Amino acid sequence: MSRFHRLSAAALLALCLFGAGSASARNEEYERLSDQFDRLASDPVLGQHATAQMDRARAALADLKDAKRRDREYRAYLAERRIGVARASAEAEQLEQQRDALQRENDRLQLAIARRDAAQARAELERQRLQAQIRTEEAERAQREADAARAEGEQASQAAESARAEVAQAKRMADAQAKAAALAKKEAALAAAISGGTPASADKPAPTAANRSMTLPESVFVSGKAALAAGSSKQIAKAVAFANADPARRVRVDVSAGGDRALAQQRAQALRDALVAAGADAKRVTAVGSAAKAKRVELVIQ
Amino acid sequence: MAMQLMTPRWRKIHALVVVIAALSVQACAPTRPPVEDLDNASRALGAARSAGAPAYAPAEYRAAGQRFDQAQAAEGRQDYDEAIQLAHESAADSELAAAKARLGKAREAVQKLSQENANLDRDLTEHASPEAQP
Repeated sequence: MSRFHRLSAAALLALCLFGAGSASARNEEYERLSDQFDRLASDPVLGQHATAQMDRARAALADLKDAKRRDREYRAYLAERRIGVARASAEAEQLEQQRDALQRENDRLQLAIARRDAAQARAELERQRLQAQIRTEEAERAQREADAARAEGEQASQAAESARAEVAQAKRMADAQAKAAALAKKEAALAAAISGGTPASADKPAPTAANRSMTLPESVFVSGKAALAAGSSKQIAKAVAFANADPARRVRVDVSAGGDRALAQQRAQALRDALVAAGADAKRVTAVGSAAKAKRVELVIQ
Repeated sequence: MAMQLMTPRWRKIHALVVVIAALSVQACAPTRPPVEDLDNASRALGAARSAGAPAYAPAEYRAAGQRFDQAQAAEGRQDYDEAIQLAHESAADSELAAAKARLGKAREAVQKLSQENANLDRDLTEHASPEAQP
């Protein structure tokens, strides 16, 4: 009996020790997870969220507390994950609230920007409208100015045209005058030719019978020079008429200047040029200056 | 005499204990495959994948997949008790993975919106609206 009792006592002690040890191990795991959950549940922010997940975690902890030894590991695994789910869900809910607040703020900002952009667009439109108006006004003014300028230009061209007409008229008048002058010269020359035989004053040239020549007074030249004198035009006209009287013959301008041959030649040339300029045929008139002592100005028909 | 009478009764008690123990073990262990538990675990895993867990909580998602595989293996060798526990653990892992994915997404959204709002706010401050216009 005593042996049996000893054995029983030893077995009981072993069982107690084992049971106490396992109970303390279970309690340690439970305490750890329970602390973890309490920290989460008592969090001023997170504790308010994910109530369903919190309840499941709490239930899982209770299951762990009551679990049989062989289920303990399994229950602890589940409880730890349920607590993790509760924490993640609470944090997620809290962040989702934050996200929603940010989204509202985002909407408000987008609206503000849209309004600002619209206001800017309106301002820009108004600015463009004003610019267009200014451009239109400028264009109209330019149009008016152009019209005015064109009118002015027309006036100017009219003036130019009338000026041209005046010029043409003046030219025609000049031509007519020149013609009249030429006719008068011709008439004078003819008159002179008709009255050829009758000796007039010493000034009047008279062709000789033999060689038919006409003498001009030395006063047709400026004294001592080759230039023709101012009042020589009448004499020149008569000389031209004389030279042109017989178009088939040549005419020699024969000048001597008191032995100055160079002056004589220059005077002959000047007179010839004057005759040609006044209407004598250049091909038929030659100029000859001689070194004779006499002072003579003569046209000779050859 | 007394001892002689006692012995058969001890044997009877032992036999009874053995029978009861065998019966209780038989009663505790499920006799049919835990189809519903595995199905739940599978659905939880799918939900976690849909929630983006592979990207946001890869460790938890991987653990859930491994537990689910182990649960199926246990079911295969008709260790249904083990299969049930593994299926529950897998489901718990999947739920944790999904919750962490949700958290990660919320965190990203908050970061993105904070940045965006800061930019918009700066835009508004720097380019003030032409409110002064008539």
